Amino acid sequence: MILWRPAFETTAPQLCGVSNQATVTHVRCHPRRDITGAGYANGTGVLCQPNSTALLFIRAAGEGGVSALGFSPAGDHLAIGTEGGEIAVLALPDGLFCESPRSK
Amino acid sequence: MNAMPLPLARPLLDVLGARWRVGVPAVAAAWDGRSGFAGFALGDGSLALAPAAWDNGPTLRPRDGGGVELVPGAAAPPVARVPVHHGACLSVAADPDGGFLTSGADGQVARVKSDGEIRVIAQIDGPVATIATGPGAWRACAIGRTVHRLGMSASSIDVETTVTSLALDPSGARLAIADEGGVTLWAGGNGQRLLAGLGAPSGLAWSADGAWLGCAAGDALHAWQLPNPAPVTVAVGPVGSLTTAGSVLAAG
Repeated sequence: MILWRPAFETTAPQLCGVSNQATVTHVRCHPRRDITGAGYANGTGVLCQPNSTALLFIRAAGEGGVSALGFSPAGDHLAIGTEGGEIAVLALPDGLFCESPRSK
Repeated sequence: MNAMPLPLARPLLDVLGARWRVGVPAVAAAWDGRSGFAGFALGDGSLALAPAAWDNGPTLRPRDGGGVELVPGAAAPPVARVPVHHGACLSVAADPDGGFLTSGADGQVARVKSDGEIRVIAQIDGPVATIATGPGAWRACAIGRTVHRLGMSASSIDVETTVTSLALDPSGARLAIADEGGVTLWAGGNGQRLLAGLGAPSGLAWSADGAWLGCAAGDALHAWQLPNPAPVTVAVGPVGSLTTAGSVLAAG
């Protein structure tokens, strides 16, 4: 996964997420935190952060590739679905993260 | 990630989420912020309505000595499945008036409320793979090389080749349209063709302030600081999905 801040000056893209053989199929940015959700063609789902190698596993590989991904408008939930017919909703309570969300 | 220390031997979905087997592919997902339901467009033409929260679901609570601990909860209730389309449901978005807007292989664009009520708002000749919704009561869909704006301000625009992606700017003033040959900005009337010949664009995303538009095309990311029609470009390799948060473009 690639993160790029196109500040219309010289900025190089960063890489984050997991390095595996699977292609990223879906990427979504959290509406209020510096967190990016990614789904992969092997079904893996992760949350990761710019300038960090740490990540949280949402789901393990299986049930087909990730074909649907989206944060709720307030950022307190994530929806994820796969080609293999699994749909899922994940709660993201504030207690899960150390830092406070950006104010709206 | 600055996550609180949790015993995360299992994927997060298994401790703080709910999973449902629906037996058919999930095609797309969107959220209705008002009702708290996620809508999943499914390959059998239905829309699955998944609740974000339910009675006695799992939670986190502060732990003595710092950090948090998991409080396991009751299992999630079954999801409701609303049969909307004949053939596959091809896309879903949050409707500007609440609930969801879906499109299908049957050429229909329908509004589905979170209580399951369905209202067909357009019938088009051919599968409708792409829709976009947002501020200003925008409901747009693409079929072939034509983009239709539905509703009170009904209008349409033809672009050069088959439309692959739509993205409405955060203010609802301009719709970015990607087709197989380039990107067009449409604010009603004639569109403004941004640089063509990028290779086939695979995704579009606006910055949160609407100041710039990002596009993945070929093996590169492009960003336009509008109204400057010349993009800045970085080569990154193949990109399948694109999104933004604030001033960061994320691609995978």
